[in-house]
Amino acid sequence: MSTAEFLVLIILLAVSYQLLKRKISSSNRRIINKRKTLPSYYATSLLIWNLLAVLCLMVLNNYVLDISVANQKFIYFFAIVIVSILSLVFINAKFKAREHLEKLNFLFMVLCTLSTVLITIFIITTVFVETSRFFDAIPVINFMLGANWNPQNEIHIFDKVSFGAIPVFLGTFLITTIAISTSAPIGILSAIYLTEYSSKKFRRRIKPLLEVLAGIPTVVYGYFAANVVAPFIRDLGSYFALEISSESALACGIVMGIMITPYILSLVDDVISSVPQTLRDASLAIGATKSETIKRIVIPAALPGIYGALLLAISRAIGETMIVTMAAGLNANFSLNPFESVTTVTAQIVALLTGDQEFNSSKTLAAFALAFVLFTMTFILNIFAQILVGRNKIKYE
Amino acid sequence: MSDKLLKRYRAERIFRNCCLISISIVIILLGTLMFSIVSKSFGSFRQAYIKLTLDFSEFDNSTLENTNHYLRQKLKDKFVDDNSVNLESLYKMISLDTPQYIKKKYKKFYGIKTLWIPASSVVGSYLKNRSIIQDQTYLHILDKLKSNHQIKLKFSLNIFKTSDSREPESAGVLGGIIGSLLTITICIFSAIPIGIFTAVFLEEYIPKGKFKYFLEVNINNLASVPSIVYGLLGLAIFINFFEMPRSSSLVGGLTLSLLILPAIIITTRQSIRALPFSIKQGALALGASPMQATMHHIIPHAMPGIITGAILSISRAIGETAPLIMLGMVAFISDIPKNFFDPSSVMPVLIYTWADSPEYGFVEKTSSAILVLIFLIVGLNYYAISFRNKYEIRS
Repeated sequence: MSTAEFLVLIILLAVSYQLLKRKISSSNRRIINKRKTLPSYYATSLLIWNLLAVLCLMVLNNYVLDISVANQKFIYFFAIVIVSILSLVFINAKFKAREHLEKLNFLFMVLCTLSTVLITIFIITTVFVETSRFFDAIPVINFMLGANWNPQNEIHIFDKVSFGAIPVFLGTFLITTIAISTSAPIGILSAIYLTEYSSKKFRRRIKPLLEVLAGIPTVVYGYFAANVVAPFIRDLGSYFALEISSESALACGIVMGIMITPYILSLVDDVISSVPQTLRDASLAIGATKSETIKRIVIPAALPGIYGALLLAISRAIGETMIVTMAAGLNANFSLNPFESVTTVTAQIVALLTGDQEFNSSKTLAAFALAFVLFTMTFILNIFAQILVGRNKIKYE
Repeated sequence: MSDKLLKRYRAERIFRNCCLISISIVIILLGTLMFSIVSKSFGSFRQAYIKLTLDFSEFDNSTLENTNHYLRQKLKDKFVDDNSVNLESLYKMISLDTPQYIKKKYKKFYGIKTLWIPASSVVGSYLKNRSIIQDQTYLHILDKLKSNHQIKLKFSLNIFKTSDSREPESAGVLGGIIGSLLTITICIFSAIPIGIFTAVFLEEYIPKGKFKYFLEVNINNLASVPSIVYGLLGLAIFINFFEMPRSSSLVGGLTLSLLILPAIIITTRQSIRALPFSIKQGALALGASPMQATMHHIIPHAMPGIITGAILSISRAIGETAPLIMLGMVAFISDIPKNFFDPSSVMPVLIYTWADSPEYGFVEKTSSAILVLIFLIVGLNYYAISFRNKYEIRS
């Protein structure tokens, strides 16, 4: 639709709106007052119906009917004119416009809410259907327990294609472990400093900064990992006569740790802040030092919440894509050595789905199978995390 | 004081310093990140130029081929005494887009003129001491040119005026910025209304019970599904099922709006829940219908919180890369998208593709593209957070 046609459409809508509003305003005041309805309500109902008509026609046009291009633009104008004329003739002040509008609004809310359920259903069905098609071709056992991951037939033309995903899972596990073990202590200790020790002024300054930094896109961290941290670690290794790959799991894991530290920090900060002040006061009153209060009272009280926060951070590290796509390798090495290059589930999904290929090739289906595993893992982690965080909240509210 | 007490005090100090050190580590690491990007990005604002004397009466500058041929001739004349030079690498000194530049700038010009014309990134990286040229004779020519002041670096904002290109010297972020804006427009118009209405419905119309609990769990889960899964969803639904144009901003925007929808719902619900109940009661007491109380009183009062959440979600959508790579936005697109159906690139994907290129020119361009993106996102985040803080203090 060109700009001119779009403008005509808007003008038609505005004219029909005004005409109906005028008509209702000029009718008997007594009836309008009795209905407790503003004239604009009548006109708004008409506007909504007009928009719905246009929307239905658009959908029909694109997916069901085959209307010639010349007629396409006129059919929208035609629809608006017909709906408007009909309503101008038949609608008068007796029409219960407010109730009608409220019903429409309610319906829209219901649809919106259902759409969120629909997204989940779509995710599960698409991923599940494609995965089951993949498992029709390749047995589940080979996928889950095979030790050789080599789906790119074009590159290794002499090798057989094989879909054993254990090395990929191991890579994800390795990088996630490095990320969590670097970020968790730093994140938790920083959160303790911010909630327990720092002055209010410092906290007010630093919190927005951390929130802003948490919003830095992951592609930036990926670039940082690939161009700054990985070469640095490689050179550091060669200084100590260590053979470190320039796509080492260590660099990836450390940068991922940097990325999730602000996330852990803000989650743990919330959890620790929700521990009631009375617990601290009681501990301090019987002579404990501040660190003893924190170690023996505050942290045990907040522990379920902290576990929840860590689970959320793990699920985020597992699902993180850009850092590993840019800084980790693509060769699936069966190893847990942090100095070697490993690959992860998300990096493999990206590698399998970029470039041109038909939708039904076993490569694409393998990506969906990996996504299925990824979705299931993060789903379970999230459920557990929510239960833990929720329990912590209920305890102190 | 007893030894035991001193010991306890020491433990206190150690613990406190540990905490302080860890927060300093966080700040230092993030500072290093910013510094390494900012320090590299300045280079891309300086472009290499080469001084050539052109006789516009000798060639017809209306066609690019003629200009290119003439420029090559000119370069050859200049270094004709030296036969050992590889001619191809000599020609590479001038950017492939230079004929276009000359055609645009000197359309109706005749006569002789000495010009600074854009040189290629090979010259640029030589001038920035980042050269990887092995050819000694070629290096010798560049050295001579440099000592004669015939090549130099000039400040240029070309990066904001051009779109993606295979040549690092003429690649720019304009196409990416416009693609991002188009994608975000789709997001704003689809995710924000749906998010607000869902949140209102959840807060105001669904009674506490199993159904509400199910919806809450569902939304919280959606909020932490990895973004790449949304990319697969968009691929399967929008591209394969609805057959929308691949790598268009329409598909990208719709997929990203699925991604940010849960976050918008959660923040909107929080800001609605923070409102005093008396607002709704007051409206109802004055005879408003429940729907009017919601639409005319609750939503406007919750608007500051809703806007903050929406801005934060939008800034997340601007920086999201992985799902868009799935949707084919990683393809090379040198045109600036004109509408929602054109194939377009977005800023983060542009960064991703540029970061793969080995040339030094692209390293600089990547850094400055990151800088643009970070300015955009940090600006939006900062605005949203200060907006929220201001509102929080007032209430």
